[in-house]
Amino acid sequence: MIDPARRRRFLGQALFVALFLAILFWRLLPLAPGRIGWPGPDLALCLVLVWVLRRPEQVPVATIAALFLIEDILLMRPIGLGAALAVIVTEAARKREPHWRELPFMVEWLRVATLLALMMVANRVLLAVFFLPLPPFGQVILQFIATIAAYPLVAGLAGWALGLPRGRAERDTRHR
Amino acid sequence: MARKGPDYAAPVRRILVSLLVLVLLAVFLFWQIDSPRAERMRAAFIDRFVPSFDWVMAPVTKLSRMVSGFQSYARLYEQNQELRRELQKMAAWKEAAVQLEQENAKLLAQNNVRIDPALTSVSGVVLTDSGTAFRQSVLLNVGARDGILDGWATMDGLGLVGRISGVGQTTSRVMLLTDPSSRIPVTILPSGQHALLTGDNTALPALDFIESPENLRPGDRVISSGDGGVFPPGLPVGQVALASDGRLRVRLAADYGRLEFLRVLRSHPAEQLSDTGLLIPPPPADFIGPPLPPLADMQAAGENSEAAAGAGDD
Repeated sequence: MIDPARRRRFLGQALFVALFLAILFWRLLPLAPGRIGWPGPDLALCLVLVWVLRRPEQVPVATIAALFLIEDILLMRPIGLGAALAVIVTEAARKREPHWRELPFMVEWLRVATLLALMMVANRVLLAVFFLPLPPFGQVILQFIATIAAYPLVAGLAGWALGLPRGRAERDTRHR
Repeated sequence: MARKGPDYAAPVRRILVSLLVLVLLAVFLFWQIDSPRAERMRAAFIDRFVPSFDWVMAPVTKLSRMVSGFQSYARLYEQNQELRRELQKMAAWKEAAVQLEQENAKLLAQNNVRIDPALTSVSGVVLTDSGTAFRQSVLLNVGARDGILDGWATMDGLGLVGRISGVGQTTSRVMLLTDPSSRIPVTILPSGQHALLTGDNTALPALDFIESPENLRPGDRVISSGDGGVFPPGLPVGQVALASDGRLRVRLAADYGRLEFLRVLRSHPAEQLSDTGLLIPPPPADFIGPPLPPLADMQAAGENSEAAAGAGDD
């Protein structure tokens, strides 16, 4: 028989991968190809950070690397750069996750915003160092703001619909 | 998981994560160093996986388009009024078009012109969007199997849309004119000036390197110039517009935002005159002066002169 904790971990991971791929395919849908709209929030990044800060054992670092590598390839971004940055950011979040868990949500939100800002700056610096074309600064800032604004929504949805509330994971690990 | 294991698990995990980051950065460096090969691998990957998700993409796309079509019922009255006004304008234009068509047919008949048969096209359906706000491209369901080559021009029914950049076996990517890295040489028509159409991720791409901008007026027609030899000349691109930032930009003729079927124009590179010296062959080196006429001509000339002399004797 499969150990129930292990099964829960496996199911959570499968759900995470399915959600990530669903977000990616939603972005690729040709709803209005050619129209130039506002850069929306990077929901996949929100999802990964929410999940890492709630159930770190369900999102192994190899899964994150593979998923972001696929995203890099499909979205015509420099291959590997986005994946490397995502791994670094999620590892930073994962390391601090036990401390952040006891703090109120506002603090978590603020720190996630700091992490995302650092990620954006690192991405831009690396693109500039390798003489790659830089995306327009205004649009990057807009996307950053939209991503931060979407973070509480994703966190709330994850807590309400997927059973990933803050704090319960804490009790789970404490009393295991 | 690392946190459940004994003491040495955390450092091992840290080393493994660093290795993973290094591998990803190595992939990035490989992309940076051997970009064509990496892009071919990317095209092959997209080609392998994206068309297989067509069955889920097609219904969702259709459904959302139906919803947006339903929303447009709300503006039915306004649209009706708008259409009536446009219809009145069109009646005048139709008259002009008929006259122009007759004139055109007359002129073509006079010139005995044959429209270039080399310009045939392959039609494709848009599979996916670019998926990010920073790049403007679409994926078509035609590829190397259908003979598509990199650099070919792509149009919808109304005007130039972009060019092929990246070909897989069954898919190909069209870089739109609005993409930040799109550069297309164009001609602006009444004045005949050349310019470079530079995409900058806005709906109206900018015109760069104009010789005398004072000769341009908003509303001038912009067509592709064919400089560089890859694009066929004369494809409609759009109209000049003066943007609010004071730059001259182009309002594109193609129906951006509703790109569904695209035509890829098969273009063959124009013949290049690389060496002008071959046009006028140099005279033979051993003889300076006008070349001798050919032998047959000389004999014929001799007979003629004899005949003329004989005629003179009579």
